Amino acid sequence: MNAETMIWLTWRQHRWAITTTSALALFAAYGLVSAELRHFQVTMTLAAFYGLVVQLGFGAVVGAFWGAPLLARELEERTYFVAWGQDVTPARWLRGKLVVLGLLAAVLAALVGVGDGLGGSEDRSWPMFEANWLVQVGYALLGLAIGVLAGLLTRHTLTAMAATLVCYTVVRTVLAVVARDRYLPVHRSIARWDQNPAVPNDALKIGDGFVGRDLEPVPVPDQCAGLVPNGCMRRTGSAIGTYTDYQPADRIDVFRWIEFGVCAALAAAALWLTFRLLRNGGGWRPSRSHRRDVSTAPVAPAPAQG
Amino acid sequence: MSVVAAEVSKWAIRGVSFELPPGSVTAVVGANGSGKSTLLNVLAGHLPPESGHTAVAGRVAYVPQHKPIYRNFKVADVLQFGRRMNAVWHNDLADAWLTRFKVPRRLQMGDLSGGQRTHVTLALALGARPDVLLLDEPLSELDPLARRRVMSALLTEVSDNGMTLVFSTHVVAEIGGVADRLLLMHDGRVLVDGDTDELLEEHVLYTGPHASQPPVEGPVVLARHGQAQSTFLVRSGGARVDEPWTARYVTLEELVVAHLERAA
Repeated sequence: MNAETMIWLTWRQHRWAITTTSALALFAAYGLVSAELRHFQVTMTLAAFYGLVVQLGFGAVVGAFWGAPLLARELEERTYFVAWGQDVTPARWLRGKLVVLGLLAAVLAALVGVGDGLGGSEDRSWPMFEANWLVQVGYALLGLAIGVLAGLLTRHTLTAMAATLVCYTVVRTVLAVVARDRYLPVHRSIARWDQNPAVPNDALKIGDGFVGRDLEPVPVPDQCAGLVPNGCMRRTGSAIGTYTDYQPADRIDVFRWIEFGVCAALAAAALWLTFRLLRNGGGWRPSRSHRRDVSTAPVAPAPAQG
Repeated sequence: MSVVAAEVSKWAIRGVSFELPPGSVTAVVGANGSGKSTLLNVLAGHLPPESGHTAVAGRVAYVPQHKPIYRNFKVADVLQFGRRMNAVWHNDLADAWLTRFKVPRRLQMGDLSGGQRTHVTLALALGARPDVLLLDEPLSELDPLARRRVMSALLTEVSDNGMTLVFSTHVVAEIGGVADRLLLMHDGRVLVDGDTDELLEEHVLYTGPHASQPPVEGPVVLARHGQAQSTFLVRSGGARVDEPWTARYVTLEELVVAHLERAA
């Protein structure tokens, strides 16, 4: 098996999924980039809006339409007898297909992630965190890996697609809501009563509150609950000022790398599990360990009679 | 030995052992659910045995019972698939097979009839020139004429290339004059394993007056008692008898049916 074989086979079996997904990605990239180049600063073109929708879901599309059917369809239609019954081993077959689809998905995702649909705005801003080629590549690889694993576990294409969408959405949500703000320790800005904490305009605010004498956050005591807390906290001496936690905008590139790293690590884990299951898994695992290679084996002496 | 199974157990099959010499044609015969397909799946490497082990010399091609092939492939795609996915590929062989059995080239596999799809899967298997060819119910979807032609073409491949052929069937009439080894399975076990010619020489049907015992020594496969006469199928090794008993050899079909009836 060589690269050409796997490209041919992948294209021959997945050409409709590849074609439609590529068209989708190219349209989205065109809509986003053209809007950005024409400097729409306040309103967004409809094309750019749809482009952002595609950007949001591109990893899920790759996972559901490329990843999930990869193994699930072979298992469901029982064509794995054909796929894995030739001289190419199942592990090499899967590896080859993953390399072809993974590279293609990465290129398309990078294109999708180039633009953000608004001209003039700084690309390195927190609201545009996901409008980045590296982040999108991470999402696409994550979707692909989740899809392949789901296909192997469910052995049913439609179930695998649904499972992929659910898992992918959960992972993305957890990353965005819980994990991303804390990739690095936050910057804390503290101000006395007569000032406001100094926070750069482009920073991502994480949280705020009151600080006590040791400059550590303090909770609002019961006596101030329900009142306007500032005046109460100041009057009672519970706090000496306020603080704001934030992530400065110059960290955004590091955060994008971290986001990519997290997605890539999750994808690698899912693929590792897939290969492991493929080799040692369920009752149908293909195995060639019992085959003797007669072409290289030495000629055995005739067994003694009796 | 070309194919060896030692105490193989998996699902329905329990403790199956046999050895098949290179170049042999073995018919695996048994009732529905007797474990034929499971056995072939284990030999092909698609199922790991629960216990025991199998050994197969060289490259294996396996055509399962449901004749799987990619539905949106055309003949040309299948040939290209075979060429690209195999270390050895004889395109003329596969192509000639498809021409011989008149498989339409322009249709997708999903649009072919069951028999035509069988021919495609057989062509894919043969084109790879395997050392061991495993076929699960290869003739089930073919018409009676095609059955004979396919079988004789397969036998030609076997004798030309020294291939070892193992095929399963539950139609006993298909194996007469084809298989040189019989592997008779029942309920996951091997009932009879042997050279068909030797088996046919060993088994003799004795008919004579009503008797509780056959007139010769040997394991009785089947005994039938009528009003005035008794018949015994005995694995006597061809022992002769005197009047009033008569003896005759049985056909392979009678032999198989007798063994299956006794086991049932």
